[in-house]
Amino acid sequence: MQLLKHSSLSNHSLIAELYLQYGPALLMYIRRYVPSREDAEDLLLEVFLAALESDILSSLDERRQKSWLWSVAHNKVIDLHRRFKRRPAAPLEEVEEALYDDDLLAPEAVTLRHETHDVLRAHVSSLSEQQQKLLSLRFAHGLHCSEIARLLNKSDSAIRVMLSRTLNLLRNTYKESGEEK
Amino acid sequence: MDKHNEQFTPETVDEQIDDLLQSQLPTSPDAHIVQNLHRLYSEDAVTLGRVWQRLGLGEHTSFTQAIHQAETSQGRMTGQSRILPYERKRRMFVEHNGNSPKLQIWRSIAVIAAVLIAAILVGSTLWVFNIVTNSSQGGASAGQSERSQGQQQNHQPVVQTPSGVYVGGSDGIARIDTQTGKQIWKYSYPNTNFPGMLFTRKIVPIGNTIYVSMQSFTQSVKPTLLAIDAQTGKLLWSHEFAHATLVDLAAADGILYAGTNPVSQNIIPPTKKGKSTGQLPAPSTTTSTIYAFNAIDGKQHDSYTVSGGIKTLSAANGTLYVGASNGLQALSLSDGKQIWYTAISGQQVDITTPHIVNDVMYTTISNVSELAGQSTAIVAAFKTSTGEKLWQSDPIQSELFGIAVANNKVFVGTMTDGTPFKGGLRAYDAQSGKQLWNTPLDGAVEWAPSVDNGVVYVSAYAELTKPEEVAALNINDGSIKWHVQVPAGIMTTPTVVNGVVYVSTGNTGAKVAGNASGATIALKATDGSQIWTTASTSSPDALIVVG
Repeated sequence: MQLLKHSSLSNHSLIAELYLQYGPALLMYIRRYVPSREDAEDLLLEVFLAALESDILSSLDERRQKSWLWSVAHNKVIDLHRRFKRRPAAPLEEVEEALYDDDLLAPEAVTLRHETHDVLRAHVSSLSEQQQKLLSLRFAHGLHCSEIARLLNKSDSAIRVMLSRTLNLLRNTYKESGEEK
Repeated sequence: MDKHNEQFTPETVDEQIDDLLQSQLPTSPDAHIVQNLHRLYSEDAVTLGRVWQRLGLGEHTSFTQAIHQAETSQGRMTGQSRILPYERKRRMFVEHNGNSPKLQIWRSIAVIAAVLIAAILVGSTLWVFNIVTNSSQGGASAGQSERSQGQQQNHQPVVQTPSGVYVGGSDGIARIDTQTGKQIWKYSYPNTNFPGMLFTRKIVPIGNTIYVSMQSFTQSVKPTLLAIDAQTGKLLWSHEFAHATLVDLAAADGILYAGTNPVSQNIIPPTKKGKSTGQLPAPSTTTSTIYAFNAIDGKQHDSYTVSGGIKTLSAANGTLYVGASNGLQALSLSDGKQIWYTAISGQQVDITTPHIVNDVMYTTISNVSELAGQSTAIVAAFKTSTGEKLWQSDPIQSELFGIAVANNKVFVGTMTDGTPFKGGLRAYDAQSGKQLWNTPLDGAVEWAPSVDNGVVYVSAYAELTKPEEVAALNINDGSIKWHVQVPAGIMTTPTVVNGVVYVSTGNTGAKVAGNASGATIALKATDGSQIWTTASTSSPDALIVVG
């Protein structure tokens, strides 16, 4: 709550709307390049803190707001990677500490980075927004097809077809790229 | 069957996913994908909820509910599939490092974090039900209404009405790209023997569906309520009204309310003025019916009979406000019972769509004298809880066509008879009803104004042979910032979204013939310069914009 003390109510509302609209996709994007969940969380937070502090964001139209958020996220990811590159030169104590806090440098993270999630994120990111939304409703919110159909004002059969096709697409992509485990 | 050749099928995809989520050993590719998707999205939902909390953006969100979903799902799962990725990392870390003191601290922090997350979950369990029931309100983002004072923003982004300019006319409804002006789709009304026999009363966007009330002047086509897929323009369902005219449409909580009047109505208002609160309407020779439909499938949910001829419907805060020929009524949306009734007397009463702002209902009441043919009108404010009149303006010698409420002001356009037409725009203090300013315009303001960013936008119509004007006025003093000319025949409120003013005009002849081709025009809100113009439906008479 402290973070919003200096932002206006209207900006607060705008950021909330932008977060709800673009937060999931931005996180999906960030996680593709930042395997650590904690780092990704911090990065996403930084993106929206920058949005809160921005003087121009509210004056942009929706498309430019989206572009602005993606640009900031992209730059934050690059910054983070730059910081990682500098870390090996840090004192041993700091490196040791970093092993606890920073998954990118942790030995186990090297393995995890190649795990299915990273690959899966890449494939999911290539899906259409509607397919991604469908997967989110099914797997994050646990809704069944009939519930999703009601929510999206689609027929139950249309949702079933779209969901099964999306899953088969992901499945086949895995097989083709040999990433299946 | 070889598991590696199994496919997800539409008929059983839900059951397949549920079974695969329960699978302890994800040996098949399908199980692998399903379990990883579940982990991935659950993990993201938790992260999104945490960032939402850290930003202090509110309590009840889809993300906090998603945390709950993730947690409960984990609880149902067993074995390896229960372990979230970051938990796996921790386990690997234990294997590498044993029980170091730092790990103990880390674990303690993790436990505290888990408790905090669990605390966030409390109170959010009804979210899924909420989004299902509230999805019908998700499309309330149509340009002008979104900016009206007192309107609540919907923070559930799951179902949004696709952006576009939705224009309805005498031959159908079209969706136009807001940026380019290109038509995305058009739904055509049935052909009639004579053009101009059909028109679009109102367009209501809810989620991915556009609801349209189509009125008819011909026996061959019945007035119809249409539900159209906003993405594709395809008809989802429709309901014909065989013996009634479809007057107005309102929506609340996934229910559409269609106000209808009998076809051959001869509405004679009550002769005595009723009392304002708690009294039933005085007897009227006409009763009208409000039908309630499930917005999703169009099935009739209920119907309510009201006295008088319905003029307008407006839904807010669990109440349906009815402007009728004999007065104003408030009905409970839960049971349809009348909450209050305020009588309005007059020979020919017209009431424009009420605007509900901070528990006050603002509307205009016009009364046309049958003998003199002149109209006297007022702007008035009523308590939404009791129907008690809070204030009314001095009488205006004009018919009034609609108001806008914003920045603690009520804006109303006026029209005076004569050739060419004259009129203007007035602003009233929303609290006291005191007139703040009155700016004459070179034409009659026949459509409700719209307000955005300190500017009020109107159209002013003089006569067919003259161009029509779209004007932008400063809301504080009524000074004109700019005015531009467009082809005469505007029959819609200028609607402002994202710095663009959209109007639809029937072109020359539209007001006479009723069947002239129409155009939709986008103007820059800053100076009125034209961005694009495009052919749209014939004689456009309803327009909404979703940004």
